[in-house]
Amino acid sequence: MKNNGKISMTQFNIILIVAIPSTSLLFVLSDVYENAKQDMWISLSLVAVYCISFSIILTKLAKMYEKKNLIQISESVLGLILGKFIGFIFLGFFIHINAVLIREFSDFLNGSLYYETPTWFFSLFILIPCIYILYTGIESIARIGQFVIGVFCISLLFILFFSFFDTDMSKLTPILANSPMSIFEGSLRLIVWVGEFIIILMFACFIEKKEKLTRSVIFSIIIMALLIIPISMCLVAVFGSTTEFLTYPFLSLTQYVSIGRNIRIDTFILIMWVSALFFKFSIFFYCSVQSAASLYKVKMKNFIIPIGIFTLVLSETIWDSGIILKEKILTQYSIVYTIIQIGLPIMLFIVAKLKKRFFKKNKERK
Amino acid sequence: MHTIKIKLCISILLIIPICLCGCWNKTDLSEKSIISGVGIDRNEDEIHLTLQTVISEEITAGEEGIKSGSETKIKDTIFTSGKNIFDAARNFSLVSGRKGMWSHCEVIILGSDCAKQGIDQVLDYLSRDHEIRFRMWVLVSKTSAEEILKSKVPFESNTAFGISDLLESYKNTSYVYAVDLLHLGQHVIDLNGTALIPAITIDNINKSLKLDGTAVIKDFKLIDWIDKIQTRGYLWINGKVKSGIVNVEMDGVKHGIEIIQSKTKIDVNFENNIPIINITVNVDSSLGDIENFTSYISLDYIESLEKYSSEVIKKEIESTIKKSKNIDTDFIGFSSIIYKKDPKRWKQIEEDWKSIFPELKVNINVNTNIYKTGLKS
Repeated sequence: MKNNGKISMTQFNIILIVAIPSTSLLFVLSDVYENAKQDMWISLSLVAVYCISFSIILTKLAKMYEKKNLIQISESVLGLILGKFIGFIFLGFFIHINAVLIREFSDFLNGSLYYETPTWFFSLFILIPCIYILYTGIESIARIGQFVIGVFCISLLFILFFSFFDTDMSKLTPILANSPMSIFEGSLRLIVWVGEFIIILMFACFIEKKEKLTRSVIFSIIIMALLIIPISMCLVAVFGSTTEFLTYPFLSLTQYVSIGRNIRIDTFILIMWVSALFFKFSIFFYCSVQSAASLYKVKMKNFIIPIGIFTLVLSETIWDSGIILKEKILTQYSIVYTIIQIGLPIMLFIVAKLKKRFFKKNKERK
Repeated sequence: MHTIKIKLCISILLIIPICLCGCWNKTDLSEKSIISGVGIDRNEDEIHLTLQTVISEEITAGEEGIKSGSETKIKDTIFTSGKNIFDAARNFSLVSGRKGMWSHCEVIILGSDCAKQGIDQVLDYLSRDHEIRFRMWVLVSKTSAEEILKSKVPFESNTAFGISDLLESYKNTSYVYAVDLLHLGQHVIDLNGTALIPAITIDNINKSLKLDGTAVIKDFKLIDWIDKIQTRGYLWINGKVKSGIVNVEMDGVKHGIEIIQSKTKIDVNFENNIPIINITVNVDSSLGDIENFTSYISLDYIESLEKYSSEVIKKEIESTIKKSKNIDTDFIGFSSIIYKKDPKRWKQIEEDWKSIFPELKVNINVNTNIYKTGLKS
């Protein structure tokens, strides 16, 4: 295949489907349960609605500036100085989210399976292949996505199938027993997940034919919802009221499943988690390198290793432990991230719209 | 271009060995000891653990030869103690020289002393540790847990696996409420510290172990025992009866009726904000044993037998409810049944539940259907 710096619409869909829900699948579901209880799946469908409405705004913005990425869009919307300033905020955000991802990845492996292996070891060894991929370019990332989604979905279906025998659907009742407010609060726990759709703006400029961009993004969100809602129902149907206390509910689900007497399927969650997080991390890594490159107007290759090492150091130094990280994700970070991920793009969109209308009027007058 | 490829090959070859030697956590089988069952006893402030290990014949055969392998007595139960369970579990290596591997642990036995002092500490450790799985049977022993793990089970050399077999075959009698760690946890959370755990004792006749009734836990503490009939009453209410024999006495003749299938339906009605519970049990069964060889079975006979059998099942359920009211513990979980059926009404009566429960009206309706009479008419 020839490398022409373009990705197809299917590859773009796959990037969204694998990169966005994979972390919340493992981490955040028990927090949603804390608020919404057995109506967790309603909360998640609400989240899907948020995602659709937010991504419609993003795709409209992407269509307005077809060949530009997020940083270039903000420069051309807000002017050079303010645009650069916003661009730096986005760069900082991407690097920070990279550090969070890498730490979550190694904390999970360290905290649940390999107690003695230090976290930097995992971080380093996920970083090295990521750096290699970034050197090879956007097409290879997209093609890895095509491979990873297969692994991801097969292991997911495998786990769901075998846990199905332990489900007790009566644990999903009574529906809507708690106040609607609690369902809404539960859905707010996943607001970071909604904001991650900002990567649409970083990748939309690489798509070959983007006439049906909005439609395909909505399609991929529906696929995501169809993946995550059955999982949440399965979790509640197996664990019931204990879901709240589990750090990694999905890991506990795979550990609970047993086929015969001694056959365990823990391996599948490792395959799933490592491949999906590797992909997610390379996506966000790519975003941060690309935004740095377009801020300084230099080639991407210059930034790959420096930003990689910087993220590694950040991920090891900012948080003392995984508990602090999780607590901060749920409190401080979710507010800051929401402002950056959701607030800023919406602001850009409004300014861009106003600008367009204003210029049109000016032209008509002339 | 060629040199780059060679460099790449060399670097890949250098990286692969790093992955091959494993992580920090690599252990050989000889450094680990696979634990199959755990007994927990408790003194004033000391925990005594009895850990049963799996001694695989492959390991011993290699070291001592196959001939002597079966005859040399290798100790497979090890006792340790500590301030808490984790401490005691680690002290295992002081005695054995190996680290315990808990991920294949199948049963956990709580000594009655430990259960009387509270099961919540035990539950916390078991659900927190990363090696322990939720699919692990929990039992309460009527004696100390140590004695249980020391004794033998007929067809299994490893006592813990044997106990796990005993629980897995509960379907044949339905006299046992088998509960694993996950469901025990759910039960405790849903009912605020009330739970049922199967009880195990030493059977003196067979000189082995025997499941005998169920322990009732209230506020995380063992308060009472219920017998096997009352256990089956509980299973009837929950619709978990799979098979078993109902003993019916009609006109002075004893009958054994085998349960083939059962279905339970529970409805909740409210009368002046006081809940009334209607339990309907439908049982399909087959006639297996009459204490009269020359009997002839007519349709009328079966019909009246069905009535008697329903009456017996009803009595089983009633005895459970009566016991539950006597010890003032809602171990059957009527509160969560009412919550599931009508969450809004439940919120209104939740505060008065303690006064409502002793006078809770439960209507029981059992329909037995005997549709097989075996090979003899």
